[in-house]
Amino acid sequence: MQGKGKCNPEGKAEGVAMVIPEPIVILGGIDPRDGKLLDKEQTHSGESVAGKVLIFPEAHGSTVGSYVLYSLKVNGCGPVGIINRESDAITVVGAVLAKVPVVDRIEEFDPIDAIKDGDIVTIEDGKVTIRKPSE
Amino acid sequence: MELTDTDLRVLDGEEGEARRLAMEILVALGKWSDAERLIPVKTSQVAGVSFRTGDIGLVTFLRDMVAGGAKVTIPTYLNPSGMDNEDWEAMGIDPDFAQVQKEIINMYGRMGINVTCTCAGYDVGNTGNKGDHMAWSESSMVAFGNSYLGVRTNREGGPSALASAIIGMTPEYGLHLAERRIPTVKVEVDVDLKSPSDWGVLGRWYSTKYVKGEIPAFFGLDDIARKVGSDVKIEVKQLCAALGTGKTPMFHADGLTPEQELIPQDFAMEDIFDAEAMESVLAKFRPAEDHVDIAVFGCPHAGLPELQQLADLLNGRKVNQRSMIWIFTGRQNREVLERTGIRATIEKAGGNVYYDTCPVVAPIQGRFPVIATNSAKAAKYLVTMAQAEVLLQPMEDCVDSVTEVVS
Repeated sequence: MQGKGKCNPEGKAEGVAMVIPEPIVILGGIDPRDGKLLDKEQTHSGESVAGKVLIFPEAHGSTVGSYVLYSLKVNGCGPVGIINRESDAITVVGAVLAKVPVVDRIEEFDPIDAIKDGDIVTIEDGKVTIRKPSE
Repeated sequence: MELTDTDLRVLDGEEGEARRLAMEILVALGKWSDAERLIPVKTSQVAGVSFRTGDIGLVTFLRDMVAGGAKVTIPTYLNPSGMDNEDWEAMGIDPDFAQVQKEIINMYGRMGINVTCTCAGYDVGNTGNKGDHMAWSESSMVAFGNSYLGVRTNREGGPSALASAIIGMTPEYGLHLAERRIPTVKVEVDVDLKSPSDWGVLGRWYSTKYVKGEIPAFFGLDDIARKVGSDVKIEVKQLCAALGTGKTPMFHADGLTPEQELIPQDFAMEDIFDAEAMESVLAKFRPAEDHVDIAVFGCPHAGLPELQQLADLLNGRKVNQRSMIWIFTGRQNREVLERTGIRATIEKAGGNVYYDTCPVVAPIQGRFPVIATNSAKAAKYLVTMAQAEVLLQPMEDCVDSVTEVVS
């Protein structure tokens, strides 16, 4: 499956999908030391975002979340790419620092529904390709 | 987005690496937001000071910026630090943490930023008039500025506020445009707000129920404000801090806030904030344990009227042996607190006043099992960031919880 959205910042990435259907609060919600999700009510709570293509609708909460995305990169445990339903300034700016592409407003599908945990996701600027792990 | 030849030269790195990265941030934001152009901003307020919250990402970014020759070109102010920058040992701060925290403050200073660390920047001269464009980042200050002062600022990330401070511009989108400031949710406030902390409860209720950044218009707040009989700045600070715990960037209030002309006759959504709604929030911040280990005040940073009120409440009382009181404010208030005896009264009762930092960004995780606060924002964040149970109640009740009358 393929879709096209807006990509800011631009870039290329490939990784295993981790889908979080709820908005995430990055500051206080992701541990910058190991990438683990801290909010007990969050889907995938306790799992790490390291090396994943992270899919979530949007980020909420403190603007310091941008630095958390960069901390994750410096510590080598950040996501390799991000796909949002509709992105936000916290995520876009954090991703500029971390040099991680962010895709949002995909025309063909809603990424939260269309992408499943474990899918292999490729981002090439605005183009998103989804493959099942068996394919 | 339209970029001038000068902008493009900056983006190519012809004016140094710091200005290049600053411009890259603004251009990414501008393209993401479909902004047509960059517009000048009057002041900037930079979040991302506490090493506790910013962590290694913040330090690495700032070192790169300083090495790249970063200098701000407009008046720029800082958010709270992760510790009292002078009295950090008394707070029990680790010396290694303190060293990195001082490096962060010094790097901001070298860029030309006013390093008075406060989330209530309007109390240190970072203020403006209705319609002024700003690049502010701290969520409570963004809501306060847009709602109470009528200035126009998006909720910047720390790096984008710094980028705007360096370039002097921001992409024109979101709350910089009048049509994006129109409220879409009408909320009838149908319960008396008896203390500033109740205004915070209203904000927390709204920002957890409306999660897409919908701007509310509150009806009935003007009557409550008349009953309070002041400019309700203290109350609005609590409301704005709590709105900022979600995605709500500002509010309007019928008969109260500066942009009455933007409040429409008809709304897409209507809601009521009543006693039941208030209880739904308070019930989440009511620990099973009776003993309170610490009461914290000053989220957002206490102004002089709140500090005076705390001194009055503590006069003739003493903090219980197994409890503490921490009060947070900006360092600019230090001289007044000492000259007026407010600080002496607080300390005589066993309370501590700390400058530069706040309960949310200081490294207090795991030290206090039960924390009382009058701030709905602090309550929300302390649960995860301090791994504490939190009791949310009015300032007077917080003082009662941890003190007794001296006979």
